[in-house]
Amino acid sequence: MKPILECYGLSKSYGNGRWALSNLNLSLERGQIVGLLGPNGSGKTTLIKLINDLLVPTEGSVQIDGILPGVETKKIVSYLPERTYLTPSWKVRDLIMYFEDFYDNFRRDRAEEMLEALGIGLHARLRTLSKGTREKVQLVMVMSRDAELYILDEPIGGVDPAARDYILNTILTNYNENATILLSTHLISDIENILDRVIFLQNGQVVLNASVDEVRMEQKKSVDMLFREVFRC
Amino acid sequence: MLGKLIKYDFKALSRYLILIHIMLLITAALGRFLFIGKLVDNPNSLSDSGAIIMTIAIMLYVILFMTAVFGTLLVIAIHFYKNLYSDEGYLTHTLPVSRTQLLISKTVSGSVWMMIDMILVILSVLVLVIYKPMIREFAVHKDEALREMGFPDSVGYGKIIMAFIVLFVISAIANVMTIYVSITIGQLFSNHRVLGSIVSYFGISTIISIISSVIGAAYSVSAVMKAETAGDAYVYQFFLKTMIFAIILQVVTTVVFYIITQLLMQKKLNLS
Repeated sequence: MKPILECYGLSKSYGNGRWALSNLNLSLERGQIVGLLGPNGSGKTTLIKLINDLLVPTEGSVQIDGILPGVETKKIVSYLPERTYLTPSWKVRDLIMYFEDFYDNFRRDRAEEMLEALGIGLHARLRTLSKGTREKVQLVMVMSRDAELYILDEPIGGVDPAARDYILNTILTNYNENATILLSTHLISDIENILDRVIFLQNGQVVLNASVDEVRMEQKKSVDMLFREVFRC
Repeated sequence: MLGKLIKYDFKALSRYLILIHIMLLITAALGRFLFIGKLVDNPNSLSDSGAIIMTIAIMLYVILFMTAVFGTLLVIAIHFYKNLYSDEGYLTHTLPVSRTQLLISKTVSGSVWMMIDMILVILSVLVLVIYKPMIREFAVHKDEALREMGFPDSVGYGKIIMAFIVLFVISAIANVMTIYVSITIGQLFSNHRVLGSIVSYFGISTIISIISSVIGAAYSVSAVMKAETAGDAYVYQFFLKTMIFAIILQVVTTVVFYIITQLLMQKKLNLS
């Protein structure tokens, strides 16, 4: 089986002379939860957008399951952007129908079960929900797909700690063991326990790619501590 | 997948457009039965207060008329922008469909609504002003009217109406593509997307109208110079050539705009 994600000399410039990513090489195996960590402006979101075909690389390439980003990769990648992409006039059930219409791997029963557990009614209009609740709805939709690669950009940033626990739990219980989760966040200590691997990005390049066990054994530090050390201002 | 995309695009557009157009038709029908109809039957029946109410009703109709025409353009533009280039774009562009399918879906749904709008707007005018004596008059003199306009008898209304329908369908698509290409160019100005779109729209419309009027003027001058030898069929020839010119111009711009939109969407997408 091919690695789920491969980047070869991946570079992106927005045309202002700065490189958001420069010559990034990366290969991710299946069946792990990977933390994509780095300070603001380190290139996390650019990398994520490139994987999701929302940007075109300036140089190099990215491949998902050996294929360039496109229709086929979008079928197997489930993406949670940091933005709220919901149409405000829709009801929660409209969104469920939309996902069901377009994604063959969407599991409606799973979505309804999670929404019920979070106390979100199917007839609620998205406009009337709080920002945190909308983020929960979005995460539920994304995690209700049987994807091979989940990309979660700041999935827990705007929700309260109780919901955060539920969401992390949801992530852990809902992904099958061959799937890979790539998760970007600032709240390292909150998610450290669920990560198998961490990637540190700085100035558009990978400065660390190690398993969490390696970090703990060799450096004798938590990921959070290591992050603070590496990226000390 | 294309069918599903079209379904959702129609749903989004129809949310406002159905309401606007129903209101337009209702107002036209009311105006017809409450005022125009009575006035036609008996021109002296209108009292002073009646005249004021009628003026208000006509103003209401004109406002709704404008709302329908510009509202349709605006709703199509806003839906395109929001669905593809605002935060909603994060979902739209990560659906397992190609950019071509996204753009075709938007073009089909937008153009069809544009045509529905034109039909309903014309219908509302007809509802308001057409009355039986007028149709009777027209039926009696229709060949004469055609001749007066300079068409030979052989042309007939069928061909003229067909030509207008073709032009009507093509210009609906051309209008929609002008909106789409403008927004797609506008969103390249990442800090001023909306302003960029509006400026692009007026810029492109101006260029197109300059091109068409320059060529049109050159063409009219040459036509006038030949006029003496032209004879009876002259007006018809002029009409035909203008029609063909308009259709070719619109087809060419539509195709060019479509290609530009598609390429930019593929290569230069940059959601904020």
